[in-house]
Amino acid sequence: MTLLDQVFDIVVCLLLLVLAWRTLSATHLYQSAIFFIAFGLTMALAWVRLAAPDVALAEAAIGAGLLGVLLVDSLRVFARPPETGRDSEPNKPESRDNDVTTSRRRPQFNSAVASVTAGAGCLFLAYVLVAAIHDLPDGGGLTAQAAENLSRSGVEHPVTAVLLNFRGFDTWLEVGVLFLAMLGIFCAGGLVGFSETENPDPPGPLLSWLIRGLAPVMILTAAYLLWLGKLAPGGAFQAGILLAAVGILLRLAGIPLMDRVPRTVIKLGLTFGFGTFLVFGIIALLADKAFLEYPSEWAGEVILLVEAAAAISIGFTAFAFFAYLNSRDQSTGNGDTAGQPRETNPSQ
Amino acid sequence: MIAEIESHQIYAGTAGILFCLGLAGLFMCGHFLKKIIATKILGTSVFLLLVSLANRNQMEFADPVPHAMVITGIVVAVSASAFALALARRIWKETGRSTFEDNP
Amino acid sequence: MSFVNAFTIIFCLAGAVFFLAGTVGLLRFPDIFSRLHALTKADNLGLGLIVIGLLFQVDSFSTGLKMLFIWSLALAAGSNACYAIGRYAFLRTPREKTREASE
Repeated sequence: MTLLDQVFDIVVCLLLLVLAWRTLSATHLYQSAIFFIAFGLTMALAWVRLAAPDVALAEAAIGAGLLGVLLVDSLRVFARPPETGRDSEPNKPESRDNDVTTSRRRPQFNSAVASVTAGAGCLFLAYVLVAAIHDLPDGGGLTAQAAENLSRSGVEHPVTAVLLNFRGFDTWLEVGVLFLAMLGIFCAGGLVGFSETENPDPPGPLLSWLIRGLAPVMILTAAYLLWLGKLAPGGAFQAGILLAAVGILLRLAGIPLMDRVPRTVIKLGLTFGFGTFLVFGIIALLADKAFLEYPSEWAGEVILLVEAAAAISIGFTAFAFFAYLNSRDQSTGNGDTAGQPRETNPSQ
Repeated sequence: MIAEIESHQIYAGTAGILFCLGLAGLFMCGHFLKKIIATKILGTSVFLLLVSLANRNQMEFADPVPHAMVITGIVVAVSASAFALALARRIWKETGRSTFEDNP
Repeated sequence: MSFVNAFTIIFCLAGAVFFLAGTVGLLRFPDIFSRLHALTKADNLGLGLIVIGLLFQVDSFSTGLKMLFIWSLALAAGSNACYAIGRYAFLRTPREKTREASE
């Protein structure tokens, strides 16, 4: 490890800390969201430095990309008072820039004693964490076991082998968590569907031209990433988020997608990955093997099938997050909140 | 002195400080969105700690198990954040509140 | 071989200069349109020069092709993002202000 490497690592770490600090201390929520996206992208750089390119791809696509889009979309909602029902004009230009999104006061503690105690507690926690890392035995973890069984896993890339074969259980339940989060969002928002938002600023012709050209390329890239997962960094998550990005861009360009697709297809898409895992798990059980244990001669093909199903499901779910949240505020006119009393007025 | 510090130690130290920043932000920031972002920074610091641990000894490849765990973790963290965003937006829509404080 | 390396170093340094200039422009320029101008210079030329520099180092034809492809994608995405930001800023600014800025 050369000095230049060390300097680069230190610069990346300092950048991470400064961005995290600025994210949390910014007075305007918009600044916070933008700093957070920058933080996610710098984090991706840190993952590359730590020899974890798979994690870097996932962080850039999901952590910075998808969550960034959701955050910025939420800003739009928080930027205008919630009374934007039938009576008031939701698209008044000045209502976008009012300071509802500004934190009214910087975070502060009640007394100096409290802030000193909290600071000391935080520093102590940091010390304990770093000290614990320093004292851990240096055994190499499960690297040796993974390397030993890699030839029987059906793939050549160790991270994919762990994700889809050795710990397929985790990935199965993770697709389940995505599905549960989707259900939670449905429950939190009420049944309003995926109808398109009325965009006050239509994006102009260029974006829809670009996305019409790029959508096939992006879908092809997703398939390539999926295939690549067998031997190099890539795989179901990255491919799935790329598919979701196609949907999000199409929606932003004003090309309707979710309300053209029949409901059955949406339901099928949301549950496809979870179901495919389950089917292969049950087949393994029926063949007197452990749950989700693949026969080693077929493992590569089974993994590719399961990954493809998971990618489609992840793409559908991630896009549904955005499409559902994005379309919800349009529905302030429907019955689910209209009759309820407003207690406080945030614009005061 | 500086030559003895390994790359993973630098990142582990950063993860420690990031953890504190995230924790402090979670308690001190008022607005829901900021609390969600702080939670995300908190989670990211734990992921950073895990991966820097996996990088301690370079054998044939870095330990793939923490990497896989972190990829899974990132997806789960983002789904949880999306759910939290949906809840925060519902609270905003229903009551006009954007913090947990009594007098916003 | 060292001749090839020299080309790589020259092109990458030139790309880095463009990135630096673009960043300084982004920080120092007064209004959104000139900032966008600085930003696109960094994206288009800086990334392009670095890709050209790295093309001297690739070992297979497909890798080089992929790098050129990435550059063209970054060009398309970058110009679109700038167009969107610029359009938004243009539509949101009152007309008089825009005219003053352009004069």
